[in-house]
Amino acid sequence: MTGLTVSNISKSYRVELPREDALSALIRFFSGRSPTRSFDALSGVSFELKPGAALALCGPNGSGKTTLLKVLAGITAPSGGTVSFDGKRTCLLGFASILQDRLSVKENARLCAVFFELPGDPAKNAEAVMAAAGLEHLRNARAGELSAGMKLRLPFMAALASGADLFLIDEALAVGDAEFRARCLKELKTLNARGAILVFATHDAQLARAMAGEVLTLDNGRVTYRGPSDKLPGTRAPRVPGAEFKEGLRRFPLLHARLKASGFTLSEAPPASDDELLLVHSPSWLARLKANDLSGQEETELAMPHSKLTLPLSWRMAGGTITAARAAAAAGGLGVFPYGGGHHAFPDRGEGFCPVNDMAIAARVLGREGAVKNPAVIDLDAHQGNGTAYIALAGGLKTFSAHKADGYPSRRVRSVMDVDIPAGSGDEAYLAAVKRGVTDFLEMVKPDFVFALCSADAYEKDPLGGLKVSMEGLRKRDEFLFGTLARLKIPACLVLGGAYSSPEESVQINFNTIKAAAAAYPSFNKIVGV
Amino acid sequence: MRKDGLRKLLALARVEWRLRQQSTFLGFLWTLLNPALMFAVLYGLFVKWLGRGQGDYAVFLLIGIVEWNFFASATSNALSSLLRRAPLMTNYPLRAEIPVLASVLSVYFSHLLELAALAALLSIRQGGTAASWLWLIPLDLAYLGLAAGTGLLLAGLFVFYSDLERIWGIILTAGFFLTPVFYPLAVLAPEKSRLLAFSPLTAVIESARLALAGSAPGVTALACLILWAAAALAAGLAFLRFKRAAIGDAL
Repeated sequence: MTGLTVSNISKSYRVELPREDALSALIRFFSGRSPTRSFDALSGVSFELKPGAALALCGPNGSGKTTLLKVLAGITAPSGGTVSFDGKRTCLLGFASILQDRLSVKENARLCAVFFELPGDPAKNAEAVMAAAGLEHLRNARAGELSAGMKLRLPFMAALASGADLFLIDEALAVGDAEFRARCLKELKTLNARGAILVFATHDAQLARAMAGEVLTLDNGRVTYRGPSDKLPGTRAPRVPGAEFKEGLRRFPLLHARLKASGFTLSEAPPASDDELLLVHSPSWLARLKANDLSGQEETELAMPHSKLTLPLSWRMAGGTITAARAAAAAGGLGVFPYGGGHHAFPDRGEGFCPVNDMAIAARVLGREGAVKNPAVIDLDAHQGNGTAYIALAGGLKTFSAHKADGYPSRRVRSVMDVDIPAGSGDEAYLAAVKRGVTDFLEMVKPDFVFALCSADAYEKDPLGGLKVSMEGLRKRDEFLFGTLARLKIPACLVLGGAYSSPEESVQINFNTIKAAAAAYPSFNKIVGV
Repeated sequence: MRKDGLRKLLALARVEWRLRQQSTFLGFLWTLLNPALMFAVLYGLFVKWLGRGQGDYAVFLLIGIVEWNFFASATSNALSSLLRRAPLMTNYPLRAEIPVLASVLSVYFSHLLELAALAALLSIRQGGTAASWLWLIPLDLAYLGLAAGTGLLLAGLFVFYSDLERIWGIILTAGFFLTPVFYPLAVLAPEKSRLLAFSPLTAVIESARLALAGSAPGVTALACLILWAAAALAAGLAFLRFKRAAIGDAL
């Protein structure tokens, strides 16, 4: 095996421009040509890796990491430059695409064994892959019945057993339960130490430092940093902002008073049942919620400050969102629950102030009741909705997230559509990105129900958001979103997520949001869940 | 195609076939029920008119339906195969030919089951088998090549032209009536009959009927079929290779 040599790689795509009027549509119809522009996904990327080297690709979504991995894997032909590598390549990019939900675990293991070119008899290899994945006892179960984390074990284990000389991995190291992730990382390190080259894309600077000696950061397809991983800019461990979180909770009594004074009725929703929580969360996390025994270290690791206070509220949080969503679905209009929006919570753990993922729970409850068929989450919190995106991998929910390009959460899971907005973007850039993203997402997914997470943390004075959007900008955002949803006759459940500026300002922004939503849906009964 | 490529092709064909069987209540029985139902309708409608001049019209019709169905199903299935497998194509280094050929092969498995059922029926009816039936092996292999080549071309074009699905549906409907599936060529005017004889589908169906009736297929028909199959395969493979990068970007 030789090393990997990448010389001056570039990749351009033709992107179809939107047709703005009937005349251009007619011209396109009769000429057979679409107006297009060139989009440079990669430009002048070069590097060399010797056997046994590991390279982490960093950068915001859309920076070119996946395109570069696809060029290295031979999936995408570069527009210019060359890739030189003499050895077996294995890629784990969108690895779920190989799996067939309607076939058994055994059939899927066989498919993985063949696609990752394991030498020998496919049937025997399938057995070995199932054993390594710890799924032997589920051999005859349909793959669709497994959780997303369990499913991904099959391609991962097949890839690790492939004997490849070059591993190309796209954010796959971010998913799965902690134990499985640790095992994969350990095995990858062993393979790396034996001479395999490792190239992986990640948003997690800590992971980059732990796994790779070198980091290559991309932005808009160009290399902005290449060097030792321990000198990667902006890799300090994130601070857990417990004080801001507690401050954010202070806004609710003020919001209640404001809503009451404006003619809204506050109604306490029934808490969710354990069964409803289990539609999304694992029994082990439910047990932890009940025990309410997170250690101080766990609070730090999971960014769950004041967990003694928040964990017992999980059932009420989920119940409120379920009730508001039911009301919206039944009326074909709007439901509001200000306390909802736990978009960082994963099935097996809470994260980032979110003990449970109430939107995902409500989506599954309503799906089970037959009230919705194609629900979606439009997440306009300043932080990426990683937990919801992960849960949505199992199907039944589509997610959109428009958030600050870097910062929390460092370990992200790809949504159906992610819009990375640069820090400090301000009103104009923020609104343009949100409007375009939401329009494209609704056009693509065509949901029959939307959970709208309209947080106030994009506000310019918010200490954790960092997007520098004015109160007026947020009002325009909400008017656009609910105006669009109402025009498309899509029922919506509004949840308000986090807000960390002064309680008075947060209340004003939250109130504006509820007002904008209520104005867009005249049938709204003005009942707000608490 | 390298050994690994062949294994991936067979694995995908197996998946496609299993998915098609598992997604229906009656599973693989549909494989036999579909031609049987089509046979019942056509036989009921045309036996009095066409059955007079055509001995054993039932067998004549069954062979026509079984052979036609393969081409129609295989090409329709292949047409959307690249788009259907786009997530796989965009995440694994997989040659574009593989998903297309896998979808044709999965239909071919069903076709072989139909042929086996037909052979069993004929052996009971005719009191045994005949050596001329072996002609079906080269015939069907050439036919598989024709369907695969057409499928490769259609799948590649469909990535760029989404109207093709509708157009191909219309062409297949026309093709059904322009191929002697349920009528003998003898009922047509001689000049029309000569024209239809150039069609590879006519060559397959007429040759299969001769082989199953105990005769060797005509050399002209066989040559016509093999030439069409080779041309279709060459065109399909060349198109996918020539457009490989553009297809990758479009997916």
